[in-house]
Amino acid sequence: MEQVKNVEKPKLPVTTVPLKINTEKKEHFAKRMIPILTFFIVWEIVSRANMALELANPMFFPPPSHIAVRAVEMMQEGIVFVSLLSSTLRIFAGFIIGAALGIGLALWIGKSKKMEEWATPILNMIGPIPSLALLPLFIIWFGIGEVPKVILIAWTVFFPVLTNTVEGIKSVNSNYIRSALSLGASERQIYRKVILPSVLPNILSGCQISLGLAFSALIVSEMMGATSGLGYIIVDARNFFKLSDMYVAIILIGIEYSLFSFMLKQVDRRMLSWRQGGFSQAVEK
Amino acid sequence: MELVIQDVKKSFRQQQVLSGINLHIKTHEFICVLGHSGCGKSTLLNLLAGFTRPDSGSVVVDGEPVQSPSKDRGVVFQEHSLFPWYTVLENVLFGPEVQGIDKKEAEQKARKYLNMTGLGEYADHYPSQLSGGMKQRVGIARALAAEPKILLMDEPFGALDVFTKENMRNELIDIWSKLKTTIIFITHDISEAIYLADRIIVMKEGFVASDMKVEIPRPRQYTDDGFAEMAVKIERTLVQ
Repeated sequence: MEQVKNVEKPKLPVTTVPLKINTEKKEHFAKRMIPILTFFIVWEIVSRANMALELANPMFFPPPSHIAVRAVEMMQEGIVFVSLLSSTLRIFAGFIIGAALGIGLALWIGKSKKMEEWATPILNMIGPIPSLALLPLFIIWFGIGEVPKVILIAWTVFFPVLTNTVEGIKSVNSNYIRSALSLGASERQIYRKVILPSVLPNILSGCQISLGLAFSALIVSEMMGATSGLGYIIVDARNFFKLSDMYVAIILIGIEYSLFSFMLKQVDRRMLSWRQGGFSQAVEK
Repeated sequence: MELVIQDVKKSFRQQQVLSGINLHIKTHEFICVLGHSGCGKSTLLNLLAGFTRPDSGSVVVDGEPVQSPSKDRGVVFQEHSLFPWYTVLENVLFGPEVQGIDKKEAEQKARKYLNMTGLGEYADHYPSQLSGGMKQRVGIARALAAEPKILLMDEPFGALDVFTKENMRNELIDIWSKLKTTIIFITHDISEAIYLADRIIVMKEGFVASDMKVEIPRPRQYTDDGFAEMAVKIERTLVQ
């Protein structure tokens, strides 16, 4: 036994890794901010030049400094907070409902051959229809309140999560299931302790894919029949020709999307810390 | 424990893989099933584990026919098949936990088998952080922690390097002599079979070509009397 340990001492950089990542992270962040700052500075210069030379209507293309001033005003008016809050709640509700239904149905399809035979053709027929095409229908059915918006987002999230999860369930390593059975696990335990964890990466990538689609659904649904939300600000700004307001809303959408995407990546990191692979693991640079 | 295999036949897509296997295996025996790839030895193991069913014939353990996988028959795969999302300890805990054993007792049990395989200090590592030999040891500890009556091993050392293999063989013999679990060990390596087994079953084209006892006293060495003669005998059976 003693001898064996000498032969196979693995090198495990477990304790040194977090320190390294922290400093790397800061550098990484700074590196990413430079292009973004440059983008706004160039925008400011071009916009100011446009104003000075009177090339195009300066209202169409306000400089970031004007937009920032307008953003502060809008924050003081309270409209920014209300809109961010209602948009965030809609995305959250729609996302959770859509993902939960998608995962649930995927597990059912994975469990029952009959269900797979029946559900697959129907899902293949309905799935490819762009969800936005259904929005007017949802508004007629459910009115112009929160319901059609949340349903639209849920619908958008449902399909990518479902297909990804089904794909994941089908590709679970059958030796994992065999191992679990030979260790005495029941079918329920196998679902909870083997299939779900091994499908988790697929579920999360389904969520990641549907995030962009969900945001489109959110904004479009807020443009049609809403009294709050980021999409509402855009339509309202168009009606009153307040282009700075429109830019404020557009930038807020960008920021909110980034925040959601970041949150999802954090969940990904937390839950899949066991996963190793990819180029960074393959070759040390 | 008593395992009786009676006239077992199995074919895949019209090709007969097992053409009538008869075996009688007793408690504490260390059996090696030896043969070329494609001789049906893995199919036999899958039948014993309960992953597949025979077309005809029966596999009976202690009077009960094998219908499905069971915790009485632990399996160690060539591709260790550890759950990558669990730590080493959680992997070994899997068996006791799903069997509903009290948490504290389950952990004691898991740690006991981890220590037995020399991996006590790696309990909190993930499988991806271990070397091939260590993963395979965790695989063995995980199977043992479910306390099976028979341990089925499908070429468990096939993917390991020569030195690691050597160590693993010694350790397996150590563990087996402590626990006295019945082991059915699949291999295509003649000297591995002679080194490990009480009894070697040589399979060829879906039949049992020969069934021989290994009388060399343990601990064995490749230079022991009778070792080379036995290897030659087995080789002749295989190429005949």
